[in-house]
Amino acid sequence: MTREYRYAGPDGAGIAGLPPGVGAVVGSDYCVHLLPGPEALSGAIAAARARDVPLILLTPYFRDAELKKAIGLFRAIPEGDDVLVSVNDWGALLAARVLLPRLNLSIGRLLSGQKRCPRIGISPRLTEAGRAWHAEGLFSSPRARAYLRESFGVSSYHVDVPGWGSALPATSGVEESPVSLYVHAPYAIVTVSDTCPWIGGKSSASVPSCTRPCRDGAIAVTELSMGNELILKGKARFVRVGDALAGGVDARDSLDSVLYDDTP
Amino acid sequence: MLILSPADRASEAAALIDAGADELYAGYVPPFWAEAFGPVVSCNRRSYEEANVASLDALDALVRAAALRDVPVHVALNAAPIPEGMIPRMVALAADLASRGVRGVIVSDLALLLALRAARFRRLAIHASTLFSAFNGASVAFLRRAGAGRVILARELTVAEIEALVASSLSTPLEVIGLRGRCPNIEGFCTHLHDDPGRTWPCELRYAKEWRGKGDAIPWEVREAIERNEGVDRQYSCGLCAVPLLERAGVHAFKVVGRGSETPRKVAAVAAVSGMREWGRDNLPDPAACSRRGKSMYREMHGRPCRPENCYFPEFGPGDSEPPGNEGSG
Repeated sequence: MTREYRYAGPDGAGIAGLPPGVGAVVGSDYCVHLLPGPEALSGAIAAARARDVPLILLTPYFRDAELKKAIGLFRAIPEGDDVLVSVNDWGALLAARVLLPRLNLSIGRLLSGQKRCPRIGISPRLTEAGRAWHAEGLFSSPRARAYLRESFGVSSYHVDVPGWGSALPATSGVEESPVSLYVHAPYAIVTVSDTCPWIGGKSSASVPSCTRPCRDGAIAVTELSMGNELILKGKARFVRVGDALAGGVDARDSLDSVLYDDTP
Repeated sequence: MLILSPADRASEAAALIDAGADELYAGYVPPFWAEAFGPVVSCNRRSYEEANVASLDALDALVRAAALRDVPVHVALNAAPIPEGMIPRMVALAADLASRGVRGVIVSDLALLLALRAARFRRLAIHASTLFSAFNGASVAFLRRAGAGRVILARELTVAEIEALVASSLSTPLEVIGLRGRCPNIEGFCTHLHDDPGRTWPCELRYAKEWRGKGDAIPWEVREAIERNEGVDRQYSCGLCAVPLLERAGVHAFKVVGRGSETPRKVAAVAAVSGMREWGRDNLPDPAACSRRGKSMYREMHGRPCRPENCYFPEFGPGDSEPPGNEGSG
């Protein structure tokens, strides 16, 4: 690992408590209501700058109106600051590249293509090759990587530690530049819903703002056939995985870790 | 607006077309894929054999049966990721499918989409699957730029959102999934393994729950919202109320889910969508009238009222409640 990052909450409230040298992560992969506002983002960027550490802004999928607002948020990122935007929406990737070409963009966990269902580890019907297939993703596809690098300037990918013990697939390919991987642990995203139980099972798009009641706790859900408990928080279900990466990544690649003290 | 129906064999093509299908789509798993990844990892996300045509000969027969009625057949190749070593073989498969008269392929892997674009097929359309999670117009533009000739939208959008997307999507035809198969999760972001031979999926299970947070227990309204979606049979999901409004909005195609289901169920589903479409054309109904008609058709089809957990378009007020808006024609 070349650098450690830690999740500092949606708005970056935890940045002050991070150990020296540790990068900060804010925002959310899965819910638009867990994004910081422009002011909070500016504060998080300033706090990271004061500590001389980089910052990652996680972003979710967007409807049209939400994307318009998100572009406004992206504009709050000053040129020259060490901020990486993790994108989980193809439209956000296109819009950010066209409108704000100075942004440093990366492919988020929801777009990376990995499968994280704990059942993958225990299914007697999967062959070993079939099991290994579930760990593949855009980051292991030279063709997709080349397109995203050439057309969108993307060379970094956010991935999870495969929960069933597989190695991350090799990222070797045709590029001369290395691939940067941000490996998130110990909560791998298994699935995301558009509806949130914390707002009565409605779509997150149906409420203009949210008081974030999902921050008050999480629900562990278990069912025998699943092989491991899932942790439900907001609109996402996670599985707890180890933070140790097995081998298999190209030695040229940069590999950073993104750690969470609690379910994000 | 075209009605796109699942079809698993030639023998059901005529009944589906008679019921109102304008296009058919099927699954096919080539031997090279099954040999590489085994029986569960399908190149079209349906591993059970009823959901796939049995062979290329069977696919030929389906294409011929549909062609007799001038109905195109599309084939789903919508697994993701497609490993790099498989891309040339999948492109060759697409070429073979095109030579057999298949008119479109449905894909969800960016690398395969790009490879198909590079292959410049003249008679094979490329449909970007709902698994690309297109929630906004810029996503449609991204997919168009990557080679998609048609974009299948995310399943969670409202009619108003879809209408706005149609207006902003220029020449890219948009497809909406709206009957059967609704999942509580966003399909493109869901990584659950669907390996149960009995076809009970992780999103349909009932889970034991343990609260880990402030207070003593799961807030009751949170528990209620979670449990509403547990044990739900997805075959009852429905978006009939929206059909006339989607057509008027300019949606290109309305997809019925259900590869692998029995022919009568597919036929009933297509007939219901077709009936709603015809009624909409005849009456130009407002949303309230669409809601009443859709709910009535649902009750006829399933012998029970529709339910929120089965509703593709909650803005119509699923269940016995009335949707917002005035009382209209119909």
